[in-house]
Amino acid sequence: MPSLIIDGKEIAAEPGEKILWAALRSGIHIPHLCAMESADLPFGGCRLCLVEVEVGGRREMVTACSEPVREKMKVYAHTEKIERMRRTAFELIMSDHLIDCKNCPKRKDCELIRTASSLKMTLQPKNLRSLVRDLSIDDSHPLFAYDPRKCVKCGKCVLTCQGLGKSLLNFAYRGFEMVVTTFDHLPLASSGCESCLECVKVCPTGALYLKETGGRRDG
Amino acid sequence: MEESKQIEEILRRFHPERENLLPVLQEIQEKVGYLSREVMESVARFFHLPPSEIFSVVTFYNQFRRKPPGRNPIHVCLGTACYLLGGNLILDAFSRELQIKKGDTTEDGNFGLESTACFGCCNVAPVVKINSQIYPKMTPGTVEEVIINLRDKNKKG
Repeated sequence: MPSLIIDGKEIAAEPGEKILWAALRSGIHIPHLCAMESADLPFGGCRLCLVEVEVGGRREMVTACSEPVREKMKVYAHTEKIERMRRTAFELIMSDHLIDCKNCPKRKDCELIRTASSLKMTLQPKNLRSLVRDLSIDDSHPLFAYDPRKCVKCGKCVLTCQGLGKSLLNFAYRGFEMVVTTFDHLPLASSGCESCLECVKVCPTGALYLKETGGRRDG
Repeated sequence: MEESKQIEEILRRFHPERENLLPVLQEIQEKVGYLSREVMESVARFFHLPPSEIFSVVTFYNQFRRKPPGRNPIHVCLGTACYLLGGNLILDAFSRELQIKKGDTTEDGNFGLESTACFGCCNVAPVVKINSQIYPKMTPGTVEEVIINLRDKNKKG
């Protein structure tokens, strides 16, 4: 079994495992939002799990969710540089997030709140303007709804729906305009959804939520 | 229907492999002018891909349109020179005046609105191209004038 050294501590890993999962299992916390262990090709979109790895005496920045473990590799997960990059990444994520915890169906059970506290940050970005887009909630489905203003584009719902062989949810558009949506923006209720609710379970924020938890219509 | 035959003919020349997705979409758009919901669905069936995947690709690239182009497609340049001289304000003005967003076509099918990057005449920036004619040194004020003139011309023509 390969072993690697994170922040000076030697830990064991499974062959071919990504750094992030080996670290988490050994009790080393690396922030992450979009990572899914089942993903064949982690896309490293949230940039929160950035770490430095030593390659030929030089340090390289990689996302821990996508970088496979190599025998005796040296990983630095909590350097000042890394922390700074993570804070910027988190501010970018929060800059177009509708912050409305009081009325949010996720309340305190939210990955963004946990991430903010682990990074010792506030939810409201300090250095970036807030650019919440003018998007509307899809509440056509009887059981759950989708509020795109709270979506962090982690893609967990997309991957989950795909993994179940349905692929009803997908990314659309590009850059700042990117959204998670159905084919041709069909309402969720008429998208062919079979209400397995797996997408709601994996959503780290209040974007996909069960209606019974009472997300308010106007957020 | 004429259109579905054209599409069938295009699909027949390709293998349903993912690498052929973009060429197929490009050819269909060239022949038919745009990619409708029905077209995206038949392309999805052909490639055995979920329709949401086709939608994802079509919306990712600026070159694909999901509505028929207007009879007068308006191309607002957002290349560097035009952008610096307020190209985006020209785009906003057209958008306001025609009540459509970029990539859309007016209800009557008269105008379409697109942005492009550089026609190679930066010396007269910001420019707009309509029916292969270049409109130089545009201002939000001249936008209305251009539209009125085109509407007049369409009535006469």
